[in-house]
Amino acid sequence: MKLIKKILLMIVIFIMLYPFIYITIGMTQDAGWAFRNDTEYWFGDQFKNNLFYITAHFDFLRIIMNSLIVALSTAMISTIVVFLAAYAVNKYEFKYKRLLLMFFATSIFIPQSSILIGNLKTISYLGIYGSIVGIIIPFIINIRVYVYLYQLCFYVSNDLMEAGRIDGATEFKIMKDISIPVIKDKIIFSFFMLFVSSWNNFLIPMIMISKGKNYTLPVLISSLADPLSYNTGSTFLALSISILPLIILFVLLSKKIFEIDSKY
Amino acid sequence: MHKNKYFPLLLITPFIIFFVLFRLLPILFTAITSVVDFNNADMNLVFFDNIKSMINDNVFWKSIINTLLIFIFYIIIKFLFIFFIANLLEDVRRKRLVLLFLYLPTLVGLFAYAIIFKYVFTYQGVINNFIEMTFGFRIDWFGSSLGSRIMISIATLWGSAGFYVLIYINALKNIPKSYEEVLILNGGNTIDRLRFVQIPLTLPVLKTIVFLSVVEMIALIEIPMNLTLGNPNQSTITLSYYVYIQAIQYGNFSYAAMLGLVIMIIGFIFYFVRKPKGEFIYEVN
Repeated sequence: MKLIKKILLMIVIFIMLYPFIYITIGMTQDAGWAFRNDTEYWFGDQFKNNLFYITAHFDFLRIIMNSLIVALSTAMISTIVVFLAAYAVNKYEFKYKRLLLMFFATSIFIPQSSILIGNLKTISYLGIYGSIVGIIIPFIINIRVYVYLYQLCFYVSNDLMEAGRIDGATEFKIMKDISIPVIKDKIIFSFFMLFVSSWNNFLIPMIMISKGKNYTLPVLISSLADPLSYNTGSTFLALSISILPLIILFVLLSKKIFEIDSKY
Repeated sequence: MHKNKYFPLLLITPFIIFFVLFRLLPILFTAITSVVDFNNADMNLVFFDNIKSMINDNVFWKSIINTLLIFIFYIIIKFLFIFFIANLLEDVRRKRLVLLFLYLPTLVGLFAYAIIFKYVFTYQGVINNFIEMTFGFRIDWFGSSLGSRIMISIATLWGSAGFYVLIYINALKNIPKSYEEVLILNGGNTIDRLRFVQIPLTLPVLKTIVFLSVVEMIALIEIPMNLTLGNPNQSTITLSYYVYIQAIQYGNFSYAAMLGLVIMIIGFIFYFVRKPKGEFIYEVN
């Protein structure tokens, strides 16, 4: 019984990871590979051609750099902004706090698509429509990460902060030297979550970006994946490249993530 | 809780600025666009026209039904998967490693799954080749409305299953061992355990999972947009995708804003149904 369970579990894991295996094989194959009855699901020799197709039609390195810049800067700014807010709400009492909290909390139930029109309007009024900045700033607020960081702040003991106050530390120093070191690892994890969500950001960049030099990876993939253009292999190549950094980061941070998973 | 006049306000100001700019203002603009039209220098009240055309719009009603149907398939597949995995994981020694593998797929964006599944599920794709090898027939996933809806729910599940498995397994940890011992003494099997111990005792978490799924479903846009394009016969146009179709493909911004408002109202209704005794959603995640 135990053995059967183990084998079943392995099969499930294999199936869950199969899309990754599929695209890794697919990026070394020609365009017709995915659509044949008698196809072999094993590596081919078309990797160079697929890479050549992308580099000939798009500025591939620049697109990867764009994606990295967008994801890193969004994650960086967002971690700071969201952490400061979550910390302030958790540790201090101030006027209209409950009203603010209600606004924050309701907005988790408002999907991005429902305020699509308003979002596009705001972005174009600010004059950042179609630019790189236009896909960074609008995505700094992330309520899920806010909720997560808010819960984390309970780990910081109020008594410790009070002790700091008695010793005459300023509030800023208390935050910097007492609170942040306690939950540093978990802040890094929230940075990772924000990086992932920005890296995968699809809808608004897809609508907004028309210039090839401002493309990000998701936009590139969606323009490659047009079924009429015969380039399955290069689509898979772009997909694999967009997934690779996530897997690397995940493996690097997996120890920290595992401390989290009992919480999250 | 410490009282300090300026410091917390200083901390929270950037968040509020971004929140107002990219959450509140868009909501306001969406509402305004759906009510008045500034097209020809003077403003027209288009609110009632929009409501009228929404009531007469077959595709709108269809999109609600589609979303509901996909939601039902999604919830069924998801719970089957969660219970199945939780049962398998029970006495695995290296649980964390397994969870790592299960969590990995949630990092990839839904649009990527949509594109991968477009190739995987084609008539001569790998799934159909496998089915033919074992059962001797092929399924036209993209041609039938049932098949394409199931396909969409599977693709959505791929992007979130690991997260829900984590939540559920954490909930299972809190069940006292004695309950299970009583069940074993009374000769209960796995199904009995699920029915009488696990589901009743993790009910709040299961409810949370259902509510999070509702949010996922009313926001579902990337998958139909990349996988089926609403085909066949408009049977995979979800609510959110219909907003996109009206706004970007047809250019009916005012009507699309109206549809956005409908989604928002659905979201608010679920928020207030969900809200436990005046507290916020902090226990959700």
